[in-house]
Amino acid sequence: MNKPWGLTRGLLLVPLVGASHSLVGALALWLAWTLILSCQGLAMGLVRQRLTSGQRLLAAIVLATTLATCTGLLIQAWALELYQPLSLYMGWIALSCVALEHGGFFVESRLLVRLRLVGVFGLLMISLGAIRELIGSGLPLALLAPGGFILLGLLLAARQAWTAAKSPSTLEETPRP
Amino acid sequence: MKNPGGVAILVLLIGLGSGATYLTQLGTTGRIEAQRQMLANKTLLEVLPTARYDNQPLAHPVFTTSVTLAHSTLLGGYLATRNGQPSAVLLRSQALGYEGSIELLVAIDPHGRLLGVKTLRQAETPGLGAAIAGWPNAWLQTFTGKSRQAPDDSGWALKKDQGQFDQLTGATVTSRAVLQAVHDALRYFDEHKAQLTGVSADE
Repeated sequence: MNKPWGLTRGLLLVPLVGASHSLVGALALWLAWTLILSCQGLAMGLVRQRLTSGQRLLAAIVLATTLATCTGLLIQAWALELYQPLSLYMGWIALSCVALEHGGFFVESRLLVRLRLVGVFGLLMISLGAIRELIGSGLPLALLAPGGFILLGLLLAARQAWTAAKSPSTLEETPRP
Repeated sequence: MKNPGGVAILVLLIGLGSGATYLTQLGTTGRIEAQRQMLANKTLLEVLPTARYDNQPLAHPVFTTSVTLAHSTLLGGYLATRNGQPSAVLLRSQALGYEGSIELLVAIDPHGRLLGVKTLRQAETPGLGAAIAGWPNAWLQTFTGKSRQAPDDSGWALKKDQGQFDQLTGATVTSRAVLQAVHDALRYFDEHKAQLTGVSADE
């Protein structure tokens, strides 16, 4: 795991905490992200070989901003109410695409790794959105950013505990790399 | 240039990108504006039951310059009609709460009875005064059906001030500000009924 990976994964935290206070919003942002990321990957695949690394970055920026802006405008035109709390994160999608491209996400990783990132991000977004919406009416803290962090921490802790409980013996005998 | 082909691709991408963005923007501006209008209407008009009007109240301002009243300021007024008859007047009122200004939308029927009050904007203490936000709002509903005459002027106060209204727990200043703003709006309506509803007051 090298440095750009840390950066791109860190970037995923932003909407994970910021845009997951409602299930529909979280789902919409994840779908938009997946769509834009796929288009970005496809389009960059066509031109990547013919560009130097500096030009590649420029092309990625132009593509990502175009895709994010157009998607944002379309969402506004058909679902303005949904768009309003997400408006900030449309720009984040572009940034995330550029960071992933710069980090070699589309070149170095295999399809399975890419799908895993998309899937894990979607799973986390949707479960956080569902939990926050469910308990938010009784516990307003869950709807604020600190509440999002706490819940994310609890989710990760639960996963740790679950994997540890599932295979305690194998973990002791053969520590995984 | 080291890579002329790359530069050409870049220029093409930039051209395509700006073109696509421009076209999308051109194609969606109208829809976005309509959506925005609809959303604004929706939040404002929640205070009125939909069966009460069939016009676009926000397109019918009855006054546009703000009016300063005893405890509050009226920022605007709109007339809702049904079958051409005035059915309600919406007054946008601004009062000074505990933390800052509070903006209310007060709906009054043609007979001067209060149809509803909605908080449009507030910055009161979370957990205390901020209980005036949200719709429907239990505390603001205690004003529904009241008018300038019933109760009379001395009754239009919190129980703490020898009036007849309950207050929000721990938020006397906020409660008082909202109550006085509502009373102000009702009094203004009573005094300017003909002008606001467009009906001559000779009945």
